[in-house]
Amino acid sequence: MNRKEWLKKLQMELYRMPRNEIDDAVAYYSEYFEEAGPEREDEIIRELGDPSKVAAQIKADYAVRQLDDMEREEARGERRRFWNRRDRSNESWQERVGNADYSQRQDGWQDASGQGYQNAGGQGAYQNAYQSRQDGYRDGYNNGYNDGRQGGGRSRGRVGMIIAAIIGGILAAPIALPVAVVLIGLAIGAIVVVGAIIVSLIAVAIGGIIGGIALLVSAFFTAGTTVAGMMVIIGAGLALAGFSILLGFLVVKAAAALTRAIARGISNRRARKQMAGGYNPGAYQSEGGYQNYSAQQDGFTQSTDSDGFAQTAETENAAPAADAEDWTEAPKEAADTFTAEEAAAADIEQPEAPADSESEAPGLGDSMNTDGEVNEDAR
Amino acid sequence: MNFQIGSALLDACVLSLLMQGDTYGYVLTQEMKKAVDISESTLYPVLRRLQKGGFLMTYDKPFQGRNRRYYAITPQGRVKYQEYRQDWETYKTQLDSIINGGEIHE
Repeated sequence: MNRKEWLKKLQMELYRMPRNEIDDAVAYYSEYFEEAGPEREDEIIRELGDPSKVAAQIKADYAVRQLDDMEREEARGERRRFWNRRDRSNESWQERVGNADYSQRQDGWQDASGQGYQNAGGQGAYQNAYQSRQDGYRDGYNNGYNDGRQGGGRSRGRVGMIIAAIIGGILAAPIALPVAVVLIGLAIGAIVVVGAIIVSLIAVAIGGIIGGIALLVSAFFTAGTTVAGMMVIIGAGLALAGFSILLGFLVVKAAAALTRAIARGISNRRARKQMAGGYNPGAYQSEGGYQNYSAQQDGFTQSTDSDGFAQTAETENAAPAADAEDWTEAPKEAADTFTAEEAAAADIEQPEAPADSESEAPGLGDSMNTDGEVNEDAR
Repeated sequence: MNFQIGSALLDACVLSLLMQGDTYGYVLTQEMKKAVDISESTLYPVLRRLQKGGFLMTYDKPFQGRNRRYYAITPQGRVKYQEYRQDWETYKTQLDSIINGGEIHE
């Protein structure tokens, strides 16, 4: 295999990831080959190993990042709601935004597996850490997510479930179909009745308005009534018209509110489904990607059955989606406000591409000669 | 060498190297390999994670007709580096007390 084939295979293995992730990874390794030079190409390919292994590493790391992001979004949403409810004290932005969270989570990660990623036995440390973390994750969020998970958990048995559902549907048809028809009929009936009520109320209102105006007008044209009588009739007409207008106005408002509530209910349901879909990037599907982590010297990946991880990852993904109602709106604003706050408070400036970094930074920067060869002695 | 290096330690090492100056992926890997036995593919997820976490940023610099992606540490990254330094000191002493003369306290 040569470099081009290796890179091509890597790109293929990553095909389910987002475009920018794929491009970055390919660019990184492409640049790596170039820096090593053509004479080291075979050596590098041998050391890198199978591109599918490298791709699995990248996908796993991406998956964990996604989980972390989701966790942070959820926590951020909750924190924001909490802070909105009370006066903002002078706590530092770091506490609020949760830089602490990152290190806590790292620590938690270490604790969760009991030995971090290091494993003297050399077996499955990564997998252990993931499993423990998944467990911890699950336990921590049990309250909110139980319903969602029971209702919406997606596992690898999805195809099997669909087949079972179809068979179950056929078997249950004799009873299920009539019941379904009745339910649909009831639903339609309910909608129609509500619509009819609204229409009739509006009709009454219109009738009242017309009647009131008619009464008003008639007061001037009936002969033989006293002034006081006329006044009464005029008053009655105005009152009738006024109340009818009020009635009509209220009915229209109520109808609008009702439709809005129904629309929101529908869109929420759709948003939940989208959330579940959106947080399930192709990388989670285990058909081709996660197999055969093999032990590497750095202990980063271990040889285990990684399908278990992919499975739990998928279920975890679906679970928060069920709670989308709470935090679909909050985190978007939260994300915007917090990044603005973060940037302001922490004064994160983007350093300009330092054209002078090589002159002012000691160490690695200086250790390169102008033609880019690493100067071993400079360190 | 029997000990494997975990993810947090890898983060710490990368941040420490970047504290000394901006550099690109190939050099970072070569430097790391001097100290730790890692594979060529180890650093990419680490760098990606640190970048997404906001501890480092990247910029491209053309070199000899190709593009080099340089990594630079951010202020947030510097804070994180100091944390790692403290953690490392604690970790070192704790491990040391066990490996070099561990006692069992009843």
